[in-house]
Amino acid sequence: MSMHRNLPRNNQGTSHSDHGMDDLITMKAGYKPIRINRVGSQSYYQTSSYRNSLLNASYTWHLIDVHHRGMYSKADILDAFFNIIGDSEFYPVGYKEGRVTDMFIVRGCKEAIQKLFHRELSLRMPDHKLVNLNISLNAAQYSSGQIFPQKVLEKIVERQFKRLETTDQISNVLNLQQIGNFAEAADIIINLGSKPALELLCKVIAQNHNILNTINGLNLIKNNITDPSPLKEFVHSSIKMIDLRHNNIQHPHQFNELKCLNVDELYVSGNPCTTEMNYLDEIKKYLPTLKKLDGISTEKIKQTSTDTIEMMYPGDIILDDRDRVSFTMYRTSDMWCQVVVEHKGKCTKRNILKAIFEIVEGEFFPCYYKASRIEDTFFVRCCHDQLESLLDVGLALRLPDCDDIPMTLKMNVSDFKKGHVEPMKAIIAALSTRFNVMDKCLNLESLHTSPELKNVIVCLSHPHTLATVLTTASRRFLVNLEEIRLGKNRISSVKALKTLNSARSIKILDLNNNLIENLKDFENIIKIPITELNLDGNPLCKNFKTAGDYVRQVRKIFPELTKLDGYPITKQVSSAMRVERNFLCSLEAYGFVDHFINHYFPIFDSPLRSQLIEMYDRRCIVSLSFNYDASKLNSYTTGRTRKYELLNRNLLADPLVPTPNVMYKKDSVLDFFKYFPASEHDLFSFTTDVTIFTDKLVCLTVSGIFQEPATITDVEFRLAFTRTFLFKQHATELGIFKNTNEYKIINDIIFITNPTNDQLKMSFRYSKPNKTKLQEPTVEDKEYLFVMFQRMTGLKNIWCTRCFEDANWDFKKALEVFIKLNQENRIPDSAFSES
Amino acid sequence: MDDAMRLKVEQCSRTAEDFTKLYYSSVDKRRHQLGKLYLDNGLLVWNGCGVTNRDAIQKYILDLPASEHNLQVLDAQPVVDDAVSGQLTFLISAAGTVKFQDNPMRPFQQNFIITAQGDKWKIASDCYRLQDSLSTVKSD
Repeated sequence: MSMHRNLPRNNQGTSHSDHGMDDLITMKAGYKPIRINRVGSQSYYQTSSYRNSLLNASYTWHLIDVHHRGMYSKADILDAFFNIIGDSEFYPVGYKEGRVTDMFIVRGCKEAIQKLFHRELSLRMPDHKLVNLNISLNAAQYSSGQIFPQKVLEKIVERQFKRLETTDQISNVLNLQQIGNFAEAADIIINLGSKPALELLCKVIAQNHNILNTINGLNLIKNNITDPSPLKEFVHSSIKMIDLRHNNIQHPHQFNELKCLNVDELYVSGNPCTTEMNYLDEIKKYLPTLKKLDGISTEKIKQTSTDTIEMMYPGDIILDDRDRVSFTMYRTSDMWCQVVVEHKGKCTKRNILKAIFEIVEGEFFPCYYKASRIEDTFFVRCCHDQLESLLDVGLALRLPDCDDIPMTLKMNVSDFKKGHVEPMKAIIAALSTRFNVMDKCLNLESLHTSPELKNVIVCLSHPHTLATVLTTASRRFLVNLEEIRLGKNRISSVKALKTLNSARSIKILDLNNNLIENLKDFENIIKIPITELNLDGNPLCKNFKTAGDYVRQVRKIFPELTKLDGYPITKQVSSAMRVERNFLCSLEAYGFVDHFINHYFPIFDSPLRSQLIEMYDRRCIVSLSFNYDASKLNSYTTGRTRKYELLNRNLLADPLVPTPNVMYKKDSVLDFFKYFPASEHDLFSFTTDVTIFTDKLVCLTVSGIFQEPATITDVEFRLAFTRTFLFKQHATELGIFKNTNEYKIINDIIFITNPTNDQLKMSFRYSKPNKTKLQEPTVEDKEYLFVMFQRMTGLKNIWCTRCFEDANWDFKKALEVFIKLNQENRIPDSAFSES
Repeated sequence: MDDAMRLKVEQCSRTAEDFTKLYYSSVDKRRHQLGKLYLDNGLLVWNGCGVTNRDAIQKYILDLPASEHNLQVLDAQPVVDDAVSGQLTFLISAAGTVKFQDNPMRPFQQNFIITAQGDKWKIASDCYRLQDSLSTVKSD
């Protein structure tokens, strides 16, 4: 895995085309294309109100734009959608990824769209930030021959039925592993994690009696299935084996509804429900006909899972603060206390533990955790202070998106007996098996899966537990410990890593795929000289725009580093020698530069070059200096430098040769534009530096490559240039648009020289940007205009949208609409943002 | 071009020559004195990395490997008064080759905005680029 993978995706390539230009959604799997008509649609943004009638028409497609700003992957975005949509139908079609906006269309999923509106058209992402959606209802007409989910599933099932497989003594297995990867599903997202999608699949299979009576097995591996209950559709079938490995089934009791099935074999490994103790037992209870579960004969299951504590006494029950007096009597008890969490099926084991560990400080090791449908239970010993902190919060767990979950403590329910789990001993045993003497490496990746820790929860995301484990490890292995792997432990706080400072032999630290948010968290934590570090897969990686920046910032904290995320990073001789493509002295300059470059150079390269004179001040000064290494000329280029030499104003040139003067005022600049050869600038080769950006003066330096294009007689001629423009304020619009400055060029100093070999190699590698400028604004353009508009007017989103829609996305017209409304006092104060 | 402008352009050219002579000999031989050539709140942008304030610029330049500049091309323009509040200001463009310690000789370009402060010329902004600097930027 690479560090690049975690960078925001707008750095992963600039060649992504914008949406909107191509509003025909074509299908890879042979369905009829769908033409989008944004103009005719009803568009909604950050609102919860909409015209209900538009949702009732099933013969229309709705378009959804997701403004992720390059921060989130497609997978994150789809997860966020399905989190909101839950058990409603939702099948995104024609998903297109864009640099800042993704888009797709859906049809006939009224409930799902209602749910999106209910959330005011925003998605909550894993980092709790919001991503806005734009929904255009009625954006395309449905016609026969276009894609729909049932057809897609029918095609997949029919094809796979022709190639049934045989696995482990079961013949005629229908392979539907990862159906998202089937070619037939290339244009549509069918998430079997959503119950209606699995229901649809089961219906498709069950409606064909031939299939139903032929297949003996069903492979549904890796389909993100959360609820297997739709499989009950197969009650009258020949299916004897169902393989549900690597899905997302949380509780064994979810198999309850499959009682009616007459299956012999079931595979469930790789599902969250298998982390629960006795899951084998539980599932067997629901499916009594089962002969084999995860390949284990069900007769053996009884013997393998009996680890628990026998409740010897009813125990003293602590319900809330009123029981505090009796609670304190157990301060010195070394007997077991049972904790009962009455979740009523509303949350998972992971969430329960997370909430508990957010409350308790100090060592806390839940033992014999048992999850069930109504309540989870576990046992603890000798942690009176920790239990007291649970009592301090009223024995209630606060979980997102559900009511408080009450807990009960049952004090002294059993004596401690020989054979009962002892957390510290179990940890030491686990550490010993995970230490490799040869490599001097302690591998604590996914520590909770250690067999030694089967009956005790050692949660490394809990800072105190992590500190305890690391201290134990460094005491035990001393100087033999050079590498610690802590990947995949959901660690968010790195404070506990301070304990590593006593293990001075540690050189390699692997923290991949944890939840560390900020690189700064490491400051003043680790003082030992770490040479290899892996932070891949942590949220902090997203904070960096470029890999270079990431490496530099990490190196500031870990100066001895030679390898980061598996990549060797060489020590730089001097940090002063680093290079950046662009420099902006002020962030506000971004839009200015972007606009100027994309406006000036395309026109300079066009037959309309003279029009640029309008961008120059009355008293402008332009001059050109030129220096070409004659040894770089060849038979094609000799003689082509002369045009530039005649203009060359090099103050260091031979004093006997008269130096041309600067070109002063518009007329002489216009002559220069006419004289200068036809050109093509490679915008991708540009570096830009803005060194001054004030209301009055702007200084922009642009360097890069241009060429005289090839003609019938000549090959192209490439040259390097550096050009510094000074702009002065020309006019200021006062009043409400106080930010709209207009600038004119007062100085333009041009230097032209031969390109270096590297520059020649790297220039004109990308096809030229499309010259036809007059096209529909893209989604990205719209977003940019929207932000500009909002900044200028101070209006809230909904009012900006209104102005833009009235003006059909013409920026100038939108401003006119705003001025008009404002003059007529038709904009209420509440339409403006507070700030 | 009127006489006043002609005179100003000539003054600008002479200043550019004198100033760059001083600048490049300082960079190559008396680097610790270079800070003095910048305004207190001057700006240096070195291959796209910005440094503000005289002291920070002095420190940044001291961190660079030893250099040997060979100036080959020089051009300069006066900046019209009203854009710089009547302050006498020149825009200078310089180019040539440079050899940093243990590195091959490479072409560079540099432009300055200098302004008169008392009887001294001071750099308000300084933008330096090695011509093929981008070939050392890793593609992200």
